[in-house]
Amino acid sequence: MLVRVQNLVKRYGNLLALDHFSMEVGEGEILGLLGPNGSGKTTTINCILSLLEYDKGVIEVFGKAMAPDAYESKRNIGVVMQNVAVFQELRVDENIDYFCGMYVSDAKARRRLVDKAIDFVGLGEFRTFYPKKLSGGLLRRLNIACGIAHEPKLIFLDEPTVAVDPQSRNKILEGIRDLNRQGATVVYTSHYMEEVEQLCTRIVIMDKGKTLAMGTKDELKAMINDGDTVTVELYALQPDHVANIRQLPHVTRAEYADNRLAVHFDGGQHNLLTLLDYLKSRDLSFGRVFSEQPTLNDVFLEITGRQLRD
Amino acid sequence: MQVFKAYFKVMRASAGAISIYIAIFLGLSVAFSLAEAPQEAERFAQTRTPIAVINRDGDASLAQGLAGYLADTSRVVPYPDDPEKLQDALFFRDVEYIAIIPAGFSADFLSGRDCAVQNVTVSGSISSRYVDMRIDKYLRTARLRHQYGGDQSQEELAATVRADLAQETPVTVLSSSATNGSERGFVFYYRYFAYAVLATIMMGVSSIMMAFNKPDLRRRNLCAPIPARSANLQLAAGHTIFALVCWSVLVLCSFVLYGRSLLSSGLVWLYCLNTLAFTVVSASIGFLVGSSVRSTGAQAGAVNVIANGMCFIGGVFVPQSILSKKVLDVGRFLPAYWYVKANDAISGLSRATAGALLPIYGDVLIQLAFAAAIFATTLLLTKERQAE
Ligand SMILES: Nc1ncnc2c1ncn2[C@@H]1O[C@H](COP(=O)(O)OP(=O)(O)OP(=O)(O)O)[C@@H](O)[C@H]1O
Ligand SMILES: [Mg+2]
Repeated sequence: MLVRVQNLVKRYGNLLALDHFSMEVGEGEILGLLGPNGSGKTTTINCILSLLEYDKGVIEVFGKAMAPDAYESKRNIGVVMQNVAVFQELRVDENIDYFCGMYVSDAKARRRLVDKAIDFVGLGEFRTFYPKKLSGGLLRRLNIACGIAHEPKLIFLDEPTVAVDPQSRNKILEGIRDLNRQGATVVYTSHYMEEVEQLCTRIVIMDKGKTLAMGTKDELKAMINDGDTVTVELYALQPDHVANIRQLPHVTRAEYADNRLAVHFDGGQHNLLTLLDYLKSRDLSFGRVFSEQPTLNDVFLEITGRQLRD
Repeated sequence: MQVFKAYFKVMRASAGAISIYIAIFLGLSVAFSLAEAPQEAERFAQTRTPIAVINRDGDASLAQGLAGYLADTSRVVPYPDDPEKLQDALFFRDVEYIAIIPAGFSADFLSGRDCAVQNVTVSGSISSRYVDMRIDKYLRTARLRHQYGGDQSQEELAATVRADLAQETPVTVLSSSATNGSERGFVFYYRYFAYAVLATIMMGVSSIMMAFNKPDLRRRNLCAPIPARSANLQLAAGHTIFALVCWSVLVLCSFVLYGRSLLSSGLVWLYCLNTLAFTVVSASIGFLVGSSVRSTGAQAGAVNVIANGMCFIGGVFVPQSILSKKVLDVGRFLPAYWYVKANDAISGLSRATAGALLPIYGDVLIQLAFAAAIFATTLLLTKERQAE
């Protein structure tokens, strides 16, 4: 385990920001920390990095207790903060060089790393720009470059794609996958479930400072054991048909509205066939048929009764 | 070394503001010294400076002789030894110069102990410089006569000196007005030095502090494998070098502008000492401002209010001798007051009276004490704030 967090408790005055939060990050993973605004993602990262004091709990990084003076561990960590943290007074390349230089003292090696990082985030034509001349998305990319230029083994990215256009976002996600392929372990926080679903090998869902669930995408979906939902376009379906459909095996819910019939099955097999057989047997002609897999949002909804994104 | 290197790159952003302060200062200094130069030559021929002589040394012949010599060469307005009346006299320009011969002066002089004729002047008054020069001349002549004139009683000595001086024609007329002008110039320059060094260093140091103390950046820096103490030391080294560079530039400019007269005054090292002390004060204030303000607007405001306010109340812009007692009482709590006090003392020194250095050292030490107090306060403040 590269990172181990156990029973972390953090209070801001009366507010309990982390409530016995636990998680682990294995080598080579892209771990997604998914949670709505204010759920405690940034607080978790800051505690792991020893930027915040916490009230209780154990934090280990690279198998050693993490502390403000754990410089050996810090040397191998890359950090991309949620708030862009660069010098307004330094140019793009100078900023990257500054942060890289905190980790790599050899000037020649550093020059190569800085060039590589600039390439990586695609800021080549903005090398000599000052941050205030960069758009929001470019600034985020600079923030990322500053965090990863020294080629760390463990990278924390705290919502690095907020306010970034879809194109830049895809580029960033692709880049993170690259870093991971080159051997970096990544901890990625976000409240975009699509992003996390797309990128992460393992996911921790948190809310109100607690771990709600963790596992791979499929494990999480299996966990809610939600079966699947089939939606059928149907014109003028009579209520007694809906009642009949509710009696079919494995059906837990059936609703008809706006010429759409939504049927929810709980486990079982060949559910779709059963439903279509019923419709055909009553000579009901239907339009398109969708079968929906549960999303992480469904998982979140199931556990908390709330939508992930309000 | 990363932090140290970044220091000077970050400083580039403030270079504009800082050079403007220096340029304005240099411009003013040159303009003033040019404006004052010609006036002086005229005045010399025409006026006898109104002065007051307070002789606290009673009947001692040497003191009497000096008072007499001053009466011959200036217009002495009789005043009693009453500080309030004397202040009024200066304020209303009844006299431009008050010479105070302290008790025991003659005896000290003859036995070779430190002694000096104290003076209070309307600062910036050109003619008061001539009175200085006369006192200087009298004492120098007396010193010569005393050392090489064999055994003489004090009365005889005083008489010979008066005789010597009486023979002299006012040679000083020949001395070029330019030299005298620039002599006045550097006195002025070093008074205003306080403003230039305070504004530039405060601006530079506080800008750097603000850049490195932005909460997000501070956090990001704490993630790096560099002890906070090392980073702070690198910043401190940066501040020191920056302050020394500002100071050297301003001192070098004084050499360029007033070279010969300044060097021949023999006061250079005292000016350097005093300005260096005030440089340390300026850095400490910049440190305080940089860790207290968050926005550049607030920073510019603080720099202007502090630099202008302190320089006004401390007697940089308006000579201390003209400031009311109330203002001066407040000024005492500001380091600029002690800078100017030392500066005035240095400017009033001459070779013959070079014994009076102790008070100047005292003023310098007081400035350093101010700096230490401000540094300590800032460290306490930041400690408190960081304990979140
Ligand atoms: N310095 C602080 N002082 C007081 N409360 C804080 C502080 N920082 C965070 N909080 C509170 O702690 C809780 C968790 O905040 P945190 O920033 O960790 O959430 P987050 O998951 O990162 O949210 P977001 O997605 O908006 O970044 C929130 O309720 C927040 O208001
Ligand atoms: Mg956050």
